[in-house]
Amino acid sequence: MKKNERTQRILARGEVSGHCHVVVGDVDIEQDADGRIILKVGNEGAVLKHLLETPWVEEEKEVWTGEHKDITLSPGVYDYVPQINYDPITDRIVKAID
Amino acid sequence: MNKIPVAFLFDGEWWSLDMTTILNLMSEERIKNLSDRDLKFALRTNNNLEIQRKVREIIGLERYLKILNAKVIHEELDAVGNPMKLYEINDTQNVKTILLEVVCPSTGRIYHMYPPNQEAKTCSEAKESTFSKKITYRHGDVGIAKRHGDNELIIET
Repeated sequence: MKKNERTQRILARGEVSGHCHVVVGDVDIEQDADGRIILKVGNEGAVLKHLLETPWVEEEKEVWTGEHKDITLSPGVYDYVPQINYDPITDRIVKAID
Repeated sequence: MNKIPVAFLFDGEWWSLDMTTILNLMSEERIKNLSDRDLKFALRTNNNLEIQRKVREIIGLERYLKILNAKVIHEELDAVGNPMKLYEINDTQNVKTILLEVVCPSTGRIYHMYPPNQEAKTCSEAKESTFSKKITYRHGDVGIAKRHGDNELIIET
């Protein structure tokens, strides 16, 4: 797998801890016209993992952070739904950042 | 992240960075010694959940909730039996805000977040509003929803 493909498989990342939520396995990740991220999981299935970002992107090494166990995704189509927060300063709903 | 475009006085220094970066740069000792006024400003302007947790662990839960003038309005257990609490915060302008306290099922760490549903009366209502639609899987701050079929939360880690 090429580096840009590994990067594309990252759904979310931690700003200060170097972790990321990555989908590995038989999956195509696409964006629809509204910018929503869609996961098309093939017959071999896929796994959502919580890995250190640099070893994953640079060397395709799966180094588990020790947080958030793997979640197996069976074949099918899924939407990525980011967690959201209310920001009392701007009075807006924003994507949760950790 | 809250980008603050102008310099501002905080803990005796002028800063032009966003609050998340400032708190990330500060030593534990300096955070611990911040005045209640500065801490309140920092907690209300930082929106990085990990940094918020770090600050709360440095200053202690009791001081954190006291600074925010937080009052418990609802308590319940989540799906795996961890306690959740819903707080109401009144700031100096007497603006009410709802704050949700949850325990991460993976790490056991406590997190506080402002739920999008600021009218929520229960922890469950508040928690559900932190995802824009029903999800099947939750992996920290990542939700996954099946495109077709039922979306009942079956795994949360």
